[in-house]
Amino acid sequence: MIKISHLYKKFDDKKIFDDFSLEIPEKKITSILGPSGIGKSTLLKVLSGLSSFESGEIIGISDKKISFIFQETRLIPWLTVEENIEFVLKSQYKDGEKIKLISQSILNLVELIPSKKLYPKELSGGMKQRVSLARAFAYPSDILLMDEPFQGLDLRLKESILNSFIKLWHSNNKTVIFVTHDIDEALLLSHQIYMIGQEPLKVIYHESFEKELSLRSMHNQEHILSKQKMLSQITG
Amino acid sequence: MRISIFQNKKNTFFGIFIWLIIWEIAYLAISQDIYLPSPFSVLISMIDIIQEKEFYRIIVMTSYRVCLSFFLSVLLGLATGLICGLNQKIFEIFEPLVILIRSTPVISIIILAIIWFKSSYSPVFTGFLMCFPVIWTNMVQGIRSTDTRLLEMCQIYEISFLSKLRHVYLPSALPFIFSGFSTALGLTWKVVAAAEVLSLPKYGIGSKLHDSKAYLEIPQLFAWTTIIILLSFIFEFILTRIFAKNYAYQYKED
Ligand SMILES: Nc1ncnc2c1ncn2[C@@H]1O[C@H](COP(=O)(O)OP(=O)(O)OP(=O)(O)O)[C@@H](O)[C@H]1O
Ligand SMILES: [Mg+2]
Repeated sequence: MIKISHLYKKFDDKKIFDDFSLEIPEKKITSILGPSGIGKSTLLKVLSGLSSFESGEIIGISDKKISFIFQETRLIPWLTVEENIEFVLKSQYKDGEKIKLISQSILNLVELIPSKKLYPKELSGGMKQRVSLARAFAYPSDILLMDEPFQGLDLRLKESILNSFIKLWHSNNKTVIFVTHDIDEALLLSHQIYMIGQEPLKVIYHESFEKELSLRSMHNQEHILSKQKMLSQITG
Repeated sequence: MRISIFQNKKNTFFGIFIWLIIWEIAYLAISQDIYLPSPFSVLISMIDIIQEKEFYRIIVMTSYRVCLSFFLSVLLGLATGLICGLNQKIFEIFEPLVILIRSTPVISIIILAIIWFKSSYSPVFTGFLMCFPVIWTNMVQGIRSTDTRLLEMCQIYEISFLSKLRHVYLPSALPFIFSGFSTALGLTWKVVAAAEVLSLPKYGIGSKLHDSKAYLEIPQLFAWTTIIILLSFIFEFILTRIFAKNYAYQYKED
């Protein structure tokens, strides 16, 4: 369990978190859904230890290995696609062949094998996003933080990566915290959803799903019902 | 990135040609060799110089001093620049020293160097003191220009310091390092030659400049000066070539 209790943080005079608390179960996918500028990225940075906070407590994450899909891709411009992936693997494995094996299978998953020798500047936005996904998936972490990981991907690619992601997740059961502002994505991909709103940040809606994670259809009844419930939360 | 003086060769040579004609016209107008020799007499003087027995020894010794002082400043400038770029406290210790060196008149350094060192090495010391601040400053700026977002990414993925240095810090600093090298190298040639004029090593272009002044051999003064300029261009060209390879990745912002 990752537990955030009584978190306070502000930028200059702007309060982002004012007594904010949240519990995130282990080995499950938790979505955090909320409007732009409310503090979703800040929450992930605080969780990962990149950002400090005024007071409060965060337990269950500081001693874990984390991979992080940042909102901007943060690829190293002078390394190729393949080298960008291997760059993070080299800090974990000494065996060169193992590194190659992992990077190739991940690149295959995100359909980037033909582009593996290209530099980031030679990629489209969606391709860069996929490299960033691949890097986070390849890294042997306990916790995966994802900040709008599917932005810039077309529907076919998104569906195919979502599918691969679910497969991958079943093989390792990582704790995933998934930030998005897309209700459909959140509904498709999570065991539970926190919808946040208002400033400073508050949980305004919470839903857990009992059933096994598999690619749910966007058109089934349950999905549409949940979506309506959530939309009514936003409109009030 | 700097635009190399060697690009656009055709236009460059045309420009040089125009200025040579203007020089010749000025010479004809003044018509006093002692103030301004003709480009032809400079050329003849250069041919004479090149045929002298000691010519190669002279240029080799001066080039050697230039290289030595350049490499010393590169070595120390990059090493201390790296540390100062990474650590604000150490930067604050170094900064006053570098400002002091940079503000001291070259001539004071040359005179001090002559007192401290043998005549052959005082130009090296002077060149070193002039270049070190340039390389240091560029290295500090280069290291500081590293994208903090990439560094955060490295922190998440537990990248070792050495790997970060090699794959993140140094490539970020490379354009700054190159610009520092290029400025410093040009500076070294001028400073080493100037220091040689005063310290008068047995073999050295500066010593020859001094002789030309003593005997009022103005075409020879121009000829040696031209040789310094040419050598400095050749060195710059080699440096550009070495760095050009490392620019292969030239990236855009994402
Ligand atoms: N480094 C910073 N300094 C000052 N203010 C900041 C900083 N980072 C974020 N903020 C502010 O904090 C608030 C929350 O930012 P954050 O990036 O966490 O939003 P977000 O929910 O991720 O938005 P989006 O969905 O657009 O990515 C914003 O109002 C932003 O202006
Ligand atoms: Mg954000």
